[in-house]
Amino acid sequence: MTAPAERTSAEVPAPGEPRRWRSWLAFEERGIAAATLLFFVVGAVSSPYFLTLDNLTGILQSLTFLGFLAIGVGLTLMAGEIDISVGSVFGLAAVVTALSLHRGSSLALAIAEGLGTGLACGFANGAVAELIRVPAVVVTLATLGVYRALALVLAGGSPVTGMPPLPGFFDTFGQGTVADVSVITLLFLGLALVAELVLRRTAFGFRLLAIGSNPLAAHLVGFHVGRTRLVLLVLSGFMAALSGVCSVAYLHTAGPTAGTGYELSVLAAVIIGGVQLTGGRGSVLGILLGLAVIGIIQNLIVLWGIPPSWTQGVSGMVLIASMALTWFSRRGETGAPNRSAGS
Amino acid sequence: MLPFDRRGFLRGSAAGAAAGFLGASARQARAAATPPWAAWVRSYMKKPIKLAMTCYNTTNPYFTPTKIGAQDAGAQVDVEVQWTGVPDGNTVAQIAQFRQLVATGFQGIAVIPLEADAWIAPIKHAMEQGVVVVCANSDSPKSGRELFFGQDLVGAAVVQGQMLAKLAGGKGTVAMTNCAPGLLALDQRIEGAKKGVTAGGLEVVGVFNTNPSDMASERATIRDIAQSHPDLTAMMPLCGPDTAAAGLVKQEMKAHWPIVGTDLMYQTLEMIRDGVVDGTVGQEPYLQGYLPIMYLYQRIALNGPRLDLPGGNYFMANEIVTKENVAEYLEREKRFRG
Repeated sequence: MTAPAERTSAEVPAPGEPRRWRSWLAFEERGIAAATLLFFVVGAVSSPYFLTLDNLTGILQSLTFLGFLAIGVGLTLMAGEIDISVGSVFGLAAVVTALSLHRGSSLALAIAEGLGTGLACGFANGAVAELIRVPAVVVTLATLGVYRALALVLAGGSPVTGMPPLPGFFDTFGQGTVADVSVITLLFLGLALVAELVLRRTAFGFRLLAIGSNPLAAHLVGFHVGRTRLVLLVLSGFMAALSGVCSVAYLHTAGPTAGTGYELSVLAAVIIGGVQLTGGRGSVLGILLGLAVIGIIQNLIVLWGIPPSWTQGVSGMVLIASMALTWFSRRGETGAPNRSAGS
Repeated sequence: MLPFDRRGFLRGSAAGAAAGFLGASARQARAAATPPWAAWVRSYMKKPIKLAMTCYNTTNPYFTPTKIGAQDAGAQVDVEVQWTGVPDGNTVAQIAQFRQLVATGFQGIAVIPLEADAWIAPIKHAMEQGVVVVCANSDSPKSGRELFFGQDLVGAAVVQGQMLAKLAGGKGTVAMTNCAPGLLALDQRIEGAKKGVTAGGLEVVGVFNTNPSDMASERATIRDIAQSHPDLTAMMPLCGPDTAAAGLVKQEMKAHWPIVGTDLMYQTLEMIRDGVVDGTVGQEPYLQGYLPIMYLYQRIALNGPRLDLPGGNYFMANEIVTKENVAEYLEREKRFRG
């Protein structure tokens, strides 16, 4: 396990190296940044469409819904807990919001109900984990099924359709763009920036990494380990719900099975992005880069015309390649390979 | 796109239609070498013609003939046809792929959508960009797509229901299965099925959801339905995999209820031949891939006008398969059995 101080020491600029680069791209992130750049170059060279504005904004758009979830899951993982119920919370919050709109509730109430669902789910995850003293991964493994069942029951097994005309929500927010970038994507990027600032510049961010690095030591110095983890699980539920509400605006419908399997995609992005599986290390920037690698791979699979049967296999192989690149980059930095240090 | 006069279009259409007819009737035939007229058409275009078909639940064996139909059409007219989609029902991912196809220069796209309403905005956006979009198998009617290539699902299911009610003696109870809850196509099929069986004197005990990508789960669900309704007099699976699974469960439980199912999965046809399943209603899955690509080709390469059909629907024929005619379907579908 690595102390949060390690990341700080890695950020100390070497003689002659630009300070800004060192401070914003920490040790772990340089590997994934290199992998992202490599796939970006491969994309640009292999397809004339890759660098078009439509395609690049399309990649961003395709990552947005997973991205909201990845911020919540990533921060939770940095504190040493794993939330795998996010896909179900996404689906449940979307169904609750859509049903509320379908009933004729005001937009504000429908959104509040959707987001409230996420907060409640996150709180339930954290409270149960704290109460019966089990890791959140066990609790969320159970609630993954519970929340999915709730979504299916509430929606009667079918997607919720027949939304009222709400141009502000469905057109301006759901389909709207600013400089060709989706409004929902801009919201996600804004939240990612806030999360990164909180992580890097606030006491809460330091506490979070310290707890993930060594919960016992953090407890002994007076940090509220349980409370911090509860807050993070609530935040994770909220982010999943926010993504679900945004998906209603984007799709005009809410499927009770929406978000199935998202937990694995999100964990892949977070781990590729350099967040240590045992906690204590990581950054939102790294998560964004991890998402970018996944997005570029998915994009290239379409551009190269790879048949759908191969899609998951190709994704897996390229992800292994990207992790290998990260490992080589780290090896080059330290001069000694160390498998146990990998996340 | 270069201007193309009506006579030229009619000539091209005739050539396309003839090619389509040959392809549809002689399903065993593989695409021939590039015909000289394809190069002639290509010379009119400033860039290569790129067509795509995007499908949800690509692992569903129902779509195998559809994929081959699309690829055959592309090979016949010598254009690139990309078969893409998602292995599950992830609409967000399928729409993201669709947008990428639009952004990367595909001029015509056939969509097999899961959630009709979710496709309204993406299809409208693509058509505003000049992409010709059609739907196949299941529809998104409010999206403004040019055409829908598929079955008159309500009408077909009415026929299916009436056939089943007759086999059950016009009384008793029937269970139905639905492998894609929320899919407009299935909603329409259920509507027609209920009309058909009710008119025939049967009572519906329920419509039960199944998982078409997992045959073991399909069988377990259908076995549970049968065990919890011991007085069942008929079984009406409304999806291809469900029909095969219902046949297997009937064999396993040595049940006697008649089954009239859906689609032409090879396993289902074999069970019709063996007398386990009583009948099925097909919907020309091969042509659901072949015809949309041919139509897109005619619209884009030949600059043909948009077809003005009632409701924008190009309905396929109902293929009613029973023990009497199953032999010809077994021969025809051999190619797609995997």
